[in-house]
Amino acid sequence: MRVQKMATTSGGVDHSSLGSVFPHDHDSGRSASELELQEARDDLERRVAERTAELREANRQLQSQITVRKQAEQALRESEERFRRLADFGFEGIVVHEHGTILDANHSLVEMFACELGDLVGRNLSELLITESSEVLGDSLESDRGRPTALRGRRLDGTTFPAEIVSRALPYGRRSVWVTAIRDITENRRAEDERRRHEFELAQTARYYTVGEMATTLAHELNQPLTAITAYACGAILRLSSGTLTKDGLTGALQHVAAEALRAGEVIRSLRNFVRKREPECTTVHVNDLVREAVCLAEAEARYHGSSIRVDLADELPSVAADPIQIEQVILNLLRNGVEAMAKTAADERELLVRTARRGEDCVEIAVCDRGRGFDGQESVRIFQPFYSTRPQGMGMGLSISRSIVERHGGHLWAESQPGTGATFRFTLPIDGRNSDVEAETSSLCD
Amino acid sequence: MSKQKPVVYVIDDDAAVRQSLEWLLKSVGLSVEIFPKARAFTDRYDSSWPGCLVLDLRMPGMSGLELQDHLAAQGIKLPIIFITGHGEVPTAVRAMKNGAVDYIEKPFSDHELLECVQRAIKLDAGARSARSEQAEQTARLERLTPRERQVLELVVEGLANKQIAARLSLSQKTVEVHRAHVMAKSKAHSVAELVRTALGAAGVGAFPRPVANKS
Repeated sequence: MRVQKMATTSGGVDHSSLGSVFPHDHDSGRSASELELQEARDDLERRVAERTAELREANRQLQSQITVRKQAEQALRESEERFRRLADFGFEGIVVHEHGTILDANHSLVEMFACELGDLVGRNLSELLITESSEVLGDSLESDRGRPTALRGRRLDGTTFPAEIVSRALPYGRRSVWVTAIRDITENRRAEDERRRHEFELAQTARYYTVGEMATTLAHELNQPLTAITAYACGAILRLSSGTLTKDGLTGALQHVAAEALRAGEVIRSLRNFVRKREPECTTVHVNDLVREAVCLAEAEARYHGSSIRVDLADELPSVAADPIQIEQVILNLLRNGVEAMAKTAADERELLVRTARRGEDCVEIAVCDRGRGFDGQESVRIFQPFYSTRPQGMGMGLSISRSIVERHGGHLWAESQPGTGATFRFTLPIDGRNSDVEAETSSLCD
Repeated sequence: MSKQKPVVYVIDDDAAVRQSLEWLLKSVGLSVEIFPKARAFTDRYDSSWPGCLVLDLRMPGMSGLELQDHLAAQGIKLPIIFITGHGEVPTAVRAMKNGAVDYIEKPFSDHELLECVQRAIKLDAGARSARSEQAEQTARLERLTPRERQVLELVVEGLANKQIAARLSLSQKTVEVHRAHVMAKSKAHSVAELVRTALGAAGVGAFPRPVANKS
């Protein structure tokens, strides 16, 4: 059997030549197998065609996927680039770290620490951030608290600066990666210090002014012991010349003279102490002592207006960390206001009460209660505003300065009153050793 | 009226001041009582007790000026000396206008205070004796009958018995009898004494008013 060469086209089969290959006059056996062959070839061709089509399709899809992926990668690169720019030139320094080791940092951080990125990568953050203890540092670097921690930053050249940091977790597979934002608060601190200084000087001025207002009554307050001294001394002389002076009598008189001289000295000392020009200080303070000092200064004015001052001081009051003169100033201000409020109260009822007590777990409270005319809700807000005064020559700063002093110490000052029944002014101070909650918010006096 | 020893009453809310003043005043033999506030004094004091008051001007509760007003309202005429550590002219003027004996600023010398106190005690003694004399005189005249009273008034006016008789339409003899009774009951030994008694009862005392001249 001759097999004619089949014309091959790309997948095509020349059917016309098949007829000459398989003439009809050959025996039927040969036709059958040739038919089978034909069918097989057809089938093969069909399958090849199908497969080819499938491959083409698969290839096309693959191409399209590659394109999409390339686009995604491009978008990602661009996005990263944008974020990189953002991170790099934001105000805050940003550092990415793992177990304290620096992995990466932005431009601002590198600048903040005055070095190159290469100097930072691989270093441990404990070399750059100073805190009280490693626990505090660890906690601030690897917890999501949201509240900033204050600490100091240390540059590679050794210089330090005040800083605040806050951290966030950065999920990265199984790795414990964190990102921390660091802010250099040197400028903030400076502005804060300026403001504190300014407030302090304002308080000092207010003290001078207060003393000026009280000068007349204080001077007259000195007349009491002087009167007593004169009377005892002269009495002794008279008795001596009339021969009625006894040893006991003289001793008693002289003791009184000494006591009264000391009493006068106390008034003067309190006064001088109150206006002495000084720096703000923060020491352990016993509030009861300050109340006594303030009352000593206020008594003259109280007496002048026909008022008396009663004290009810708690025993064993915990001490507070404070600037003693400023707290004394606040108490004195409240006392003077109380006396003035009672100017029109019935003479027998003009009593001012000062009370100290522990309030809750962590505060000491001082209250000054008067029986004056009282005030309503609106006025209770106004009285704390600057330049509000009910005195004819009043400066109107007393309560607003008092409040800022108290808040600077981490406490609160407020008033309770009903019109017609008097008023109570209260302020709190945190007990010594417990102002940790205050430091983060505003810089406290006792930092 | 019993003659009591005068007492200096000292009121000052400052303990050292009032105790030292007590010591000082006792040094010259005066009797002293001290009080920390006005109320303590008013609760205790009886207006028949002679002496004077040494009083601080500004005190808690009732002030010095308020006490002065209170005593005046009660008709208590105890002389007051104000002492004060606060020198204020308006208050001083008011205190003096309301009848204070004096006003002294602290600190004062013993001399100043003692002189004032002696003066006040004398004033008080004088006033008391004048008052008691007046009371006595009033009592005497109250013993007169209405007719005797009429006669007294005309005698004091300077009328002679004859004129009195004419005025009252009485006989001269009757007038003489009434007149004798008047002199006896008034314990007067002369017309001049009678006149003094009548004036004293009328509250004129040492400052005689010109008598209206009816004729």
